[in-house]
Amino acid sequence: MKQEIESVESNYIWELIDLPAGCMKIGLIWVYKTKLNEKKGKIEKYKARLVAKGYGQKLGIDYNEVFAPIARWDTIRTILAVATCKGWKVYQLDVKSDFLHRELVEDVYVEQPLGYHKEDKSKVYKLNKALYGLRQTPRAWYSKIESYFAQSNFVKCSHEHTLFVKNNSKGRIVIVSLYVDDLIYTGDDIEMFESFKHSMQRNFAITNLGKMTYFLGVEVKQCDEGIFISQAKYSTEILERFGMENCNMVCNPIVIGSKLVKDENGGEVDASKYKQIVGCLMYLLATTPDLSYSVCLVARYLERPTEMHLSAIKRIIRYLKGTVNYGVMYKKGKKVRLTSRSD
Amino acid sequence: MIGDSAIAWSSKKQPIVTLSTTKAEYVAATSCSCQRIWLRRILDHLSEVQKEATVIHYDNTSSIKLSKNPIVHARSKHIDVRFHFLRDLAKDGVIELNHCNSQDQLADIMTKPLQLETFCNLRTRLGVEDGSG
Repeated sequence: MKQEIESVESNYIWELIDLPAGCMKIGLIWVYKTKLNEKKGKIEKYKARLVAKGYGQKLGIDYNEVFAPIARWDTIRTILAVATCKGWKVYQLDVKSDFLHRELVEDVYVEQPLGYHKEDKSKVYKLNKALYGLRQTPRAWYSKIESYFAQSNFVKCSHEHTLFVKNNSKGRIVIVSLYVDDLIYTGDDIEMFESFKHSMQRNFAITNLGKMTYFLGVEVKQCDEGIFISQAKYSTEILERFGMENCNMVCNPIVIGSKLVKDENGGEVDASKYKQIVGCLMYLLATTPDLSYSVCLVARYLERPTEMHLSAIKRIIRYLKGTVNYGVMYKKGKKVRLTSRSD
Repeated sequence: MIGDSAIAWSSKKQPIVTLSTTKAEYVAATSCSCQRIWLRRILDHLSEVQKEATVIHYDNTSSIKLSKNPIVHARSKHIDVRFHFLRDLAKDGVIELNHCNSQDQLADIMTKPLQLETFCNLRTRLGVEDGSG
């Protein structure tokens, strides 16, 4: 908690003032999190984060724009595929307390945090920079990094706003893709990497995570033959979460000839659990094209799932059990040529 | 797909009711081409300009014919203008529809339950592998 307060104060996030008449203040809340290290089990650190209760904010008064673009999976996979074809390595960077680096346009006032009152309790803090939980924080962060990229001669792709490319005079290239505070970059010139890394370090607090290995819950393996992406850890978590870790595995996710219908008379099952499973499986589709038909099929019956749908979804999970380590492999030495199939 | 591995996939219920299978396939091809154009633009931006037309492998001959000949007859005259977008693209050389065998149709894995053998075969051809080995 002390660390967080220090980080907030050292960044000149706020100043103590009297609440101007007619202005609303927003509550603050502490959120506690135990961070486990990557292999799980061991506690790495306890973290306390100061979060604003953004749900009380009103459009037009406290905030204007709230949307921030994130990279699509299609883009990330395309970058990976191109990088493999070219034999490039992909690296990733993580921006620390990213939201704290951007100036707010609107006037926002917050209460003093619990346990850290100073002087008069009726005084409030006026925020200079964005804080976690505010409605406009993601947007604020995006416009900050966007202007940084514009200054450093990166060209933004007009069809995908999180994709930035820089070409230098020698025809070398650096490609950067952004997913809120995580970003991946690739290219064919080490010098350009270094200068990019240094300028990022000057402008933001970043941790250099080196080669891309774990991004948004997806494991990335970069080996001699190419790049392999999978979600083994996430799959195992799904199995555990829904109590299916000991189920028998099956070889295909759906029974041939089986038909799902609305089934008005079937016994109803817990819809919220059903929705949770579908949600988890949907995220899994990022690396498992083989599941997409069956998951999309069960997702059509979210409204009133019955026994029939539950057993279909259980079959998918049993299939998943057998294919936990499966993923998509991008192989080296292929020409970058787009083909497609449709049915 | 780039090289031999899949980069973008989608499987969805058709948004509209179609009167014939040809039309159904035609609708699917149209949404596929939209995705295609977007990916082409992304690749352009990555300095990987796709000079030749992108080939779409497709197992329905009548849809292919429909995209090449601007013939309107009793059976196809009701097809919505927006799906004729495909025809324009084919004319401009952005995409090229190509016939392939039904047995060879990779996209089947996205549209129907399959025999185990076919399923595993198609899965491998999408670039899906066991990473533990």
